[in-house]
Amino acid sequence: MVEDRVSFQVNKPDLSEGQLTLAGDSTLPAGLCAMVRHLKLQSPAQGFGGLVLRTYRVRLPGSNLTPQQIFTAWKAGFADYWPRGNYFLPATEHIETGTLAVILLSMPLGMRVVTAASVIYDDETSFTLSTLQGHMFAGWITFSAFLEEGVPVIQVQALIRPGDPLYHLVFLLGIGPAAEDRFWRAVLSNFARRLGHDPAVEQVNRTIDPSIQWRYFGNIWYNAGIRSFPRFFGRSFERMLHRQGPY
Amino acid sequence: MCDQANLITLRRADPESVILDLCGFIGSRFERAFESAASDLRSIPVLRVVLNFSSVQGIDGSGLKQLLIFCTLMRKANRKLAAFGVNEQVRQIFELTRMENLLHSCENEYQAVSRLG
Repeated sequence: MVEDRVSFQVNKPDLSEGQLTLAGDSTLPAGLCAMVRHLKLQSPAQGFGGLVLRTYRVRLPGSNLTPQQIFTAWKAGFADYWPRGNYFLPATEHIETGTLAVILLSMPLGMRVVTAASVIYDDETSFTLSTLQGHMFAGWITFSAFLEEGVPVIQVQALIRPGDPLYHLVFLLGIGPAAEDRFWRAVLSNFARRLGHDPAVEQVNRTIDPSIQWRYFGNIWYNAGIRSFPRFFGRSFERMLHRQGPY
Repeated sequence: MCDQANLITLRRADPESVILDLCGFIGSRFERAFESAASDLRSIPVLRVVLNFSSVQGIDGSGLKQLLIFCTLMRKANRKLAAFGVNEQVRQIFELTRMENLLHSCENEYQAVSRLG
């Protein structure tokens, strides 16, 4: 009998290896979990391309909500604000430090990518996701809400390097950064609209270190795009996620 | 020593080594302090930079980001890096995030300076 759903618990990372172990309860399809099982966290230091800091933010003037209230709402419906066709599937009910999430990304021309990230820090006004091996970027993405001159601000800040040579090429061609910008701008816009605000997204990019780290050339072995292509090309994630039984 | 007036205090351990005493909880308010320290250190002809975490209570996602940027800038400027006095909570975060690959933790100041040769 083919098991189509796996059980896992993700709050027991193997700290010595930076590797997450899956076990416990979940409703995620086994095929998706199998793709991210045993992948290690990738800090921005372990990527191939140049290190950049990309900051996206929306000011919420006139809002009476505190940063804590805003962030609680954001975190509670975090996946709902992702652009259509893309899924953030946390393995735990609440987003908290240690939570592993499978990420399903719909790319142009029917490309589908299955990758993952894990929460490495959370508090009442922020949390930080670290990508896992195979993700297009090696890095940390911090989501936060705070007051700036008395005005609430929601922010996404990505400290990232392209994960491997192929992603670096995509980044150099400008396709990667454009997709990244569109994605996080859409997330902030969706959430700002939900709060009843005009989503005027401000963006600041900063290059920290443009040098290539050749010693991480081998990251291409884990490239989620290459691994996902033959299996998921042109398929509907939505249909897969709602289907019972093996797919 | 943790200087309560400053988040980061620079002091010389020897002609080729600088100790950075970090003070308090490392978060977004450290951004300018790290940038200022990185700027100062790039203009000082030292080989070794040692971060003293003895008075650090914890670190958040923003603090990790600042620390990683600082370490990257120092490595780019050919400075050798080490840390000491890292408490259990911060040590676990470093291990989880694989910061250890970038910033090796030592038991004490002497060991940290010696390790960097």
